[in-house]
Amino acid sequence: MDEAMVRVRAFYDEHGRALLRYLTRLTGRAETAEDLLQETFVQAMRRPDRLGNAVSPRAWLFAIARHLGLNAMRRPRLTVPLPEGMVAAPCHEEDPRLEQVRRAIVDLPEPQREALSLRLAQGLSYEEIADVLEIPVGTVRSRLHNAIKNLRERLNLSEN
Amino acid sequence: MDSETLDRLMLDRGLGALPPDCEVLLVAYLETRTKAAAACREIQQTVDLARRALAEGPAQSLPAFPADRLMRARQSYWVRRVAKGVVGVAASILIGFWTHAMLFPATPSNLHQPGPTLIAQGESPRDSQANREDAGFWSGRRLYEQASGTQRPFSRRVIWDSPVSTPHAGDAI
Repeated sequence: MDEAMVRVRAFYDEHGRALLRYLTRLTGRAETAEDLLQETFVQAMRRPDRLGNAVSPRAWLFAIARHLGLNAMRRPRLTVPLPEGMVAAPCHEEDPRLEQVRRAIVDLPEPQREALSLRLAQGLSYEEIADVLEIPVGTVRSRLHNAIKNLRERLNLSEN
Repeated sequence: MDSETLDRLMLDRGLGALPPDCEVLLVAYLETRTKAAAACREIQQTVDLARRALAEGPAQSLPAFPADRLMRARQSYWVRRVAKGVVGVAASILIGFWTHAMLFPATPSNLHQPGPTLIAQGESPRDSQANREDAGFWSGRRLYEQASGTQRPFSRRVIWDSPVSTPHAGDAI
């Protein structure tokens, strides 16, 4: 195994799980997400110099994954999603407010939801999100702030 | 501090993007402002709930590292790099020839340059050299001079003396 392969392997071990989660959320299908995860690293392997020189390799990998995920979503679906009843319900006790939060997040405008997911679910910094979404850092900040403001209004968590 | 700046700082803090020194200052500021402190707690609570909602999902195991696919991608990367290099060199050579042809077009002196020599079987290169010098009849210079000597650029021209008469061909002046 050459040096580039070892490096990619290390990135796979470090970021693979987060990328898989992100792709699953993006595409809504676990099998597609697994395929896209592999494709993400194949693309990275085709440009090992970019991977080595990237300011944030994690952001670069997420950017590739995002492009692949968006392309996959544009393609016509060949499978039918499972009916809701067949999806296993969470087995642990859940905070009743979480369902409300989920609905509020789904209702957010797509750019805000995407930025929020990258920040809170994937733990990317503002700069990394800006790299992934190819937008200025200031725009990332305003999207995130607006998303939280919208959620706060919807949830109405005031202490009174 | 104006309310917009305070809002921005509280949101950045809630999102975990506020530098630690700014956070210390913000906490100290909020100690004396109960209303702002309550808003800050509410923001933090909202972010925590959103984080929990986004983090949840079915547990997925990471698929095996696709070493074979990546190895093929790596090989195709090198093939493309080598192909790119070869095409680059070929293009450079072609451009070089083309530039040379543009800068130094064929002239009589160029035509006189010795070309490849045919050497009869059993003949030594020295004999061939002697034959070539004698073969003046076939030299490029003689052919060029002959061609340029016979060509008279203005030997015939159209003569149109008057607008009322038809033009006719005549000898050069």
